[in-house]
Order: sequence, then structure tokens, then C-alpha cells
Amino acid sequence: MSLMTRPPGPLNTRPMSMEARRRKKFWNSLGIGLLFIAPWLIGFLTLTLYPFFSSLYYSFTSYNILSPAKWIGLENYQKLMGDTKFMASIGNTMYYTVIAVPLGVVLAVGLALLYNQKLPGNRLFRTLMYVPLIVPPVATALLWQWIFNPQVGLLNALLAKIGIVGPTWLGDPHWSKISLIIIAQWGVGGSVLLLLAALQDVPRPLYEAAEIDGANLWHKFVHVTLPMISPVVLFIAITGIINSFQVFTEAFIVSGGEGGPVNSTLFYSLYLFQQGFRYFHMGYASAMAWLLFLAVLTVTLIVFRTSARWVIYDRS
Amino acid sequence: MAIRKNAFPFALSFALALGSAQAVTNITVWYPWGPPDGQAVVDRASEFNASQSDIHVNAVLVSGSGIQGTTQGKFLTSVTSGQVPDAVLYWGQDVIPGLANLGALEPLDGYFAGAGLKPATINPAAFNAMKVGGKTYGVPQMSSDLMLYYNKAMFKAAGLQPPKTLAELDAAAEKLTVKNGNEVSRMGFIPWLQQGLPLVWSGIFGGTGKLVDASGKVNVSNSGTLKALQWESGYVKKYGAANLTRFISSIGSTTGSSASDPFLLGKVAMEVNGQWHGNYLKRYKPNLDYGVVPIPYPVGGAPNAAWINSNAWMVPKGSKNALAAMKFIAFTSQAAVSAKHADAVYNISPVIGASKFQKTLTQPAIKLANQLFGGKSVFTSPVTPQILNLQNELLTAFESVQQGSAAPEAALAAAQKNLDQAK
Repeated sequence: MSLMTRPPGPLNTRPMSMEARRRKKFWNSLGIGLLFIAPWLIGFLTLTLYPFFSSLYYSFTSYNILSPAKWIGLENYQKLMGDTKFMASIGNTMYYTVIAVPLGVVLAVGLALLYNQKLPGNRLFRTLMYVPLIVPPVATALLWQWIFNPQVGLLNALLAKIGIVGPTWLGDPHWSKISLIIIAQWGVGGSVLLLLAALQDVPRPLYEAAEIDGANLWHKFVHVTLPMISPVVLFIAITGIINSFQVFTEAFIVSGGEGGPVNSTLFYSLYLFQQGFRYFHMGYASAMAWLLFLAVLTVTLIVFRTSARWVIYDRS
Repeated sequence: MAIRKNAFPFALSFALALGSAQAVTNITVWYPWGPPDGQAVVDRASEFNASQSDIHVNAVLVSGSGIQGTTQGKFLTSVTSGQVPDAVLYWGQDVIPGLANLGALEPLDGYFAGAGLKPATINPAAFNAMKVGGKTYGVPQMSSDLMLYYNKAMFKAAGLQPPKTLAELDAAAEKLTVKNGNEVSRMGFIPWLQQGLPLVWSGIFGGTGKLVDASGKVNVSNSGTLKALQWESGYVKKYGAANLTRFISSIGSTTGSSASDPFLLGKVAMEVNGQWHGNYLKRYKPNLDYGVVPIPYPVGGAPNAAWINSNAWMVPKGSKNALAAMKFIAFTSQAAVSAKHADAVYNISPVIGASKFQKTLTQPAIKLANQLFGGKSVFTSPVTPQILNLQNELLTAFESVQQGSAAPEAALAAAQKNLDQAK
């Protein structure tokens, strides 16, 4: 029996330098980290990033899913510029955004101020205000279809009590977008909750200082409250704009996917959906999606840039 | 030794059993509805499975068969991925030209003989509506046609006879309309309620056949369609767009048969609907005294004109068992089987001679539907890859006239422009 012995010579176990150890630890940590986020990472790469960039490619092609995509350069984009329904969908979406977003912000601020008062039943109302948000958008749209019913609906019944003959709401192209804007306000609870948190975080000494300077309620609201909650208002405005640009579900439900009456609820996303999934013009729909992305990006950047003038982050 | 002795017969019987098990071809078919229509498809599949041992049909409910509805796009993605059902059943023939044009459907002409299905046994109008470019891409499963439902009690009270011409219809509509002050409490007739779709009225005025010209170009401004829209605009002028919109918005379901159908509730004295509607009336208001007549015709028009629409069996491109699927379709296309199915879903069978097996023929709507179906004046939607877009544009054009926001000529011109752009 012989024992294996190490041949004489210098030891080959040079201690690892600190740098190498650090590097090894880093790569080990990175590997473990990547392993942990792998489910999300794989999903993100395959279901978000890949479709995102492939849609850019498809926007320059004629593609109907079944046949191979055919490169047509800028033709989809050029065709969009002459598409009257595309223009109508932009008009409808702008109309909706310009009214729904500011209205949503004003309503949310107003309700948050109300709920911030020490009034009886406040907790109950705060809870109730959030309830519409847990109702699925499809159910909300169906519910509001009944509320907007011109003859047996709740809204026109209330208007009749004060002597007003209500319009036909969703059945009238002049009122259909307004109806959808009203439906959108139903979900204002989320914004109110954020604003309520911001309001409760406004430093009390600021109000005391303002009172010493003789400020009344309005002055305190304009010069203390509003600046202090302005970062949250900015957040609500931006997410509101993004959501409004993508308005789809309620319009799809109330118009049966057609965007009627007379294309009055044919919003951008609905027309994009029609082009992509009804007519299978995937290249055309991809071009529309990229224009929407660029529009959202541009508007968001503009709001961010201008926000420096009215958003205050310094809480001192 | 005993094992070795018995090994050969055992192996042989095992192989035979395995062989016979492998001989069964399993096929999957998609159907688009829940019960009762969907259950009837499952029942036919069970009957077919019991009738022979070579093919086993697995009928799967896929909303809208993955072609329209909540699973829109599922059918095409299945074709792209190669994971296709062996056949799909869809609730109309309008998707066939578009899908055939995309290359998503298998032409069926080569399978008829092998499956034992004779095209000559199927109503030619229904069968021809499934052809694109001379090739057959669908087999009519069940058919429907439209008629005018009228409330007999209201007609009797007003001293009226059921209308035969549009002039008589208009006069009856006026007489049967009831107003309380400015509010309309009952309309005699509104052309665009329920199944009064643009394609239907265009066809009644002889326009449907002109919607696609010989070169394949879509022409919505043809004389028939324009006349239909001008006639509808007469109702807008007479009763007021706002009044009509208000009334329609308040009378329940105006686009599908249900318990809140305005004719069923007595909110309208007449409406255009399919033969299936008789079943809803029977179910939800069994004592309703109603009658059915062919849709009235305009001056110079054809009596007994009827728009027919058929559910279509289709075989997707890439189907691994197309012939087996066609054998199942051929089974469902036998006169007695088809009649049984028609009875179950209150439709009419497109199979020639099936009506003699149909038990629901005693129902007035089914009886009239069968008579109209075999007539010479039936018409279908035009066969064009642009059909879905065409329907959409026509709907918008008609809607803008019904809303009083456009004149018929301008509305159709706008629709034509959109269709030209969409080419």
C-alpha cells in the first residue's frame, strides 16, 4: 500500500488576492441574483422586450401573421397620414385626454381635501371611494350603460327631478365621449388616496407660518398645500395622460368594439385593435403603436420639462 | 416453458389490440357557442363517435372559434404555430373570404368525394357563399334567414293587414306609433332595429349584389344601397333623429334576441329578425300573438327576398386530419342528422330535403324561413376579402344618417373613401 505524496516543491496554493476574492464574490452574487430574478427576466425579455422591438420592425412591413413580413419601408406611416379614421381616432383621444385628465386631477384634489378634514364617517367614505377601483373595467362599463340609459337610467331620472331633459348619452355622438369621461371619473379613488397621503405629509409649521403672515384658507391652499402636494399631482397627471392615450376597455364595451355611434368613441387604441386583430393588418397596427409610444413619450417629456416651474420638491 | 409457449399468441393479440387502438384517428373541432347551440354540436360529435370506430371527435368550445369575440386572433395564431384544430365551426360565412385570402383555410373541394359529402345536396345559395375564387372553403352547417315579425293584436286593433310592400310597411308604422306628449311610447317600426342591418336593406333594394363590381372593387355608393339609406332617412325626417335615438336607447336589447327584445315587450309593433327569434318569443312570452311575413319589398323590388346567412364548417391550413374532419362534417350534413340539429337550435338546415325531417316546421317562423330559403330571391353578403371592413363602414354610414348627422350620399361617399384608403 503506498500513499500518494505530494512531490516536493513550492506550494501551489497562493492565497487569493483581495481583488480576486472581491471579483469572485461579485460574480457569485450576480449569478445568485440573476437566478432569483430569472422568472421575471425571462418573461421580460421574451414577452416585453422582444415584442417591443419586433413591433418596430413590423411597423415597416406588410404583415398578416400567416405570410412572412414584407418590407415596405415607410409606407404604413405614409398611409396613416392620409387615413381619415386614424385622424378621427386622434381627435377623439385628444378630446378625451384634454378634458378627462384635468378634470380627474381637480376632482381628486377636491375630494382629497374633503377627506382630509376631520369629519364624521370619514373612514367609511375613504373606503367607499376606493371600491370602484376593485370593480373590473368591463363591469364598470356595463353598469354605466344602465346609468346612462336615457329613459330608465339613474342619471336622466335625477336630471328630470330638476327639470332637465337629459341627453341620450352613449347613443348620441355629441355626448358619447362626455359619457366616457364621466365613467373615467368613477375611478378617481386611486388618485385621491395618493393625494390624501401627500396632504397628511404637509409640514404643519408651514401652515402656522402662513397663518402668522395673515394667510386665509385660500392663501394656505394655493401657497402651501398645492406646492407641497405638487409632486403627487405631477405623478397623477402623467399617469392620467398615459392612461387616457390608451383608453380602450370602456369604449370597446359600450360601442361593441365598433367605436360608434358614428366613430365618436373610436379612440386610438380601439382603432389600433381593429386594425391588428379584426383586419390582421399587423404592420399597420405596429406603426400605430409606435406613433402612440412616441406621442406618449413626447407629451410626458414636455410635462416633465415644464414641471420644474410648478412642482416643488424642497419641503423645507 | 408455458410462458414461452404462449408468448407468440399473446404478442400477436397485444399487437392487434394496439393496432386497432392506433387505428382510431382523434380529431379536434372548435365550436363557438355555449349551450344550447354548443351542446347540440357536442351531441352530434357523440353520435358520430358512437356510429363508427375509426374517428373520435373531441368538440372543444372556443369562444367565437378564436376568429371573433373574446378569443379573436387565437385561430390565426394556431395556424401560424401549426397547432391547429382539425376543423372549426363559425357562426357565419363572412370571415371566409378574409381567412382564405390570408391562406389560413384549406380548400375543401378535394375532400368531398373521400368524405362522402355531395355538394349538390346543399342549398346552392348557401354553398356558393362559401366559395372564394372558385374554390370552396366552407360547408354550411345551419342556415338562417330574416323576416318581418308583426304583432297581430296591434294590427287588429288598428285595422291593418300585414304589409307586403315597403309603402304599406311605412303606412302601418306611422299608424302604430304611439306618442305621449313628446315622448314616443311605442314605435310602429324602426328599420335598423335588431337584424335590420345595412347589408339586409341594401339587398332588399337590390344593392347587395352591386357592392362588389366585376373587377372586385367595393362600391358602397351603388344605387340599391343609396336607395336603402334614403328610405331609412325618411324615418329620420318623419320621427326625428333625437327622438328615435332616445327611444332606441331606452328599449333594452336592440341587437340580439333576449327577454328584453322590444318586439317581445310591445315597444315596437314590427321588427326584422331571424327565425330563431320565434324560439325566444315562445320561451319568454308564450302568449304573444304574433305573425311573420317576408320582408316587404320596394317599388320594383322582388317579393319574398331574404338575406341568408350560414354557420360554416372550415378546415384550417395545416389540419393533420382534414379528411377525417370532413367525414365528421359529412355525417352532420346528412338530411336527418342536420334536421335534428336544426330542431335543437331553431335554425333551418341547408341540406336539401332535410326540412321533411324537421319537427319544428309547425312553428310559423321556421316554416316561413324554410319557404324563403328555397326561393329564388335569396341573397347573401358579398364575397370579398374586404367584407368585415365593408360591413363596418356601411354600419357607420347608416348610423350617421340615422343620427341625422349626414345625408345619405355624403355618408356613403365617406364610407367609400375609407374603403379605398384601406385597400
